[in-house]
Amino acid sequence: MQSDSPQSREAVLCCTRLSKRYTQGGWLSKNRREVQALKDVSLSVRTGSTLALIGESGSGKSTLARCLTCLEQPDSGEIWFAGRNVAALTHRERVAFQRQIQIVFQEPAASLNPRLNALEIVSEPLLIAGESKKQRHERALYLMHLVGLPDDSPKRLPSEFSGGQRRRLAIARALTLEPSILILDESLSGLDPSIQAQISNLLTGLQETYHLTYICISHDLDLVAHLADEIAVLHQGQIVKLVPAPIDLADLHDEFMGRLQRAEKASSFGAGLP
Amino acid sequence: MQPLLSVHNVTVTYRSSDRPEIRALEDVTFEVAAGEAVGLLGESGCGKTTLALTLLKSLPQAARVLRGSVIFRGTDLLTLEESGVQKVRGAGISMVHQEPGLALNPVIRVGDQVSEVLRAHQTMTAARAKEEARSLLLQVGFAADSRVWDAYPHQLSGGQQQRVAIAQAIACRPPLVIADEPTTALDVAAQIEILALLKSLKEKLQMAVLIITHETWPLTQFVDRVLVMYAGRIVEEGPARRVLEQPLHPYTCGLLRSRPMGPHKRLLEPIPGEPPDPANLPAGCAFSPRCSDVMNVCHNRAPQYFSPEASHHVACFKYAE
Repeated sequence: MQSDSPQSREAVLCCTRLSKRYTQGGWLSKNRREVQALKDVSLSVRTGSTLALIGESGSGKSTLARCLTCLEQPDSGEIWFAGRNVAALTHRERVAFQRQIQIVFQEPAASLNPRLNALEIVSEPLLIAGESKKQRHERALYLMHLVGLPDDSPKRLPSEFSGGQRRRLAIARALTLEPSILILDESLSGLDPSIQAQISNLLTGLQETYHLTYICISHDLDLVAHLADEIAVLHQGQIVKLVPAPIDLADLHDEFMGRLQRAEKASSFGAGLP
Repeated sequence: MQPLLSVHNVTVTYRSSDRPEIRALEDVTFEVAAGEAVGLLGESGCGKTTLALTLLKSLPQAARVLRGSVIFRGTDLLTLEESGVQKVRGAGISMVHQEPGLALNPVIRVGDQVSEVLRAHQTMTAARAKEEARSLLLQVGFAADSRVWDAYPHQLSGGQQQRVAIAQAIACRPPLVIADEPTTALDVAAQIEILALLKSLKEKLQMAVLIITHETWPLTQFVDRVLVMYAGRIVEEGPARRVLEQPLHPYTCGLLRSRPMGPHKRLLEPIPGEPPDPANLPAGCAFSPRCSDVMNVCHNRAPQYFSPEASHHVACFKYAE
């Protein structure tokens, strides 16, 4: 095992030759087969920058994000955080590491507990971390104010917020433990353009103030080109292209269309069939 | 020449037991000519889907059409009996829904679902319908040797499901296809693919298309005319290029400005505030609380339409002579 980080010091998070296979179907299933979700993925993210992951559904974007956050154990490869190999961390260090990376999930309506009010939702991670009630509430109220939720929010349930406000709530919760990295898994999709722009500005502002690092998964090329410092295009578990800023949209568009046409020529229909 | 579809003053409300009546559509008037592609742009809750359902007369129970008419090829669909409307649905006006996974029947094989549409509207033998359905699947881009015929919807990707839904929609060669957010549920590659397909089918089959969307980029692809909707009213209507490049209504301007343009302009310019609650619309112009060019008159009454340039109409007092 190497003793120091293979990537530059600037990189807060990087991974080398990450691979992950999933088994589909139960162990008695006729159609049991293995799916290579990630294959030798290497990348690094600089502190305070935004890395975007784009690709068709099933190209491994979410698996990569889940591996980087230790929600999923990769089959092979290494993950380095702030110059240390994550696999070599002690249990206590790993807990601290996981606090540093938080995810804002795709559909807040599905990821927020519908029976807790906004104050409980935002302060819950601190409860788990063992903070006092006063501290928890102070921090939660501060965060709700920070993300621009109205003053009457604390007592409201998630269902009583609009779509845009729910995103703000999910972002506030993700910030509770003062992470250095936020994973934005389609956090801006499904919103109307004007609300999307408001949330996008909120994220940009938070990044500048708190020097946050974003890993952003999205289908929206325009938005990705706007937010990202670097774009990784995934295809069938591999990074097929790394595009640094400034990002030329036409270039990305061609990349997508070209691949599409090639796929059609090969007439690969039936990939999803048993 | 008589337009293919002419919608006049359609006003629809929803009632519910615990809230006041909600006005979903207010005096919506527009026309679609044969073979024309029209885009309907608006944010969620502005009444886009209610409008689409009104055109097919398939509104939910709680909805009530207060006034207005939907004239399709000389007949008012709103006064037709259910049996008459059924003849129009699918054969005259068909619809492609937002979620192809929900629009297709999960327990019927894809091929049977497509031929089912044909047999419902035309008298033909099962063998003939099967042949037709096969050629439809070819038309929407499936390879001749593909196994799609015997597949169930869940075995297909989202883009493939949407192609099947489109094959159903064009099965009876309807003169008008309504596509309600046809790309929203799909990934980037599939979005591009489905729009390209709709565009080529529109040209090949000479059908009119009404595309409903909350994003502007699908409209830049092949739409002739754009309608912009806000809080149940059409606030701007005009040729696609004019509306998307030089919009008149402050709402359209705001909507277009809030989209990211080019790399790394650090902050976007969103429209302040949130769309209004349809049960509690502001007095006067519904956009006035969020509008940067608001005037006194805007709070008092709703603006009528002004036409600062030919065939470009806008509901805003800024353009009053």
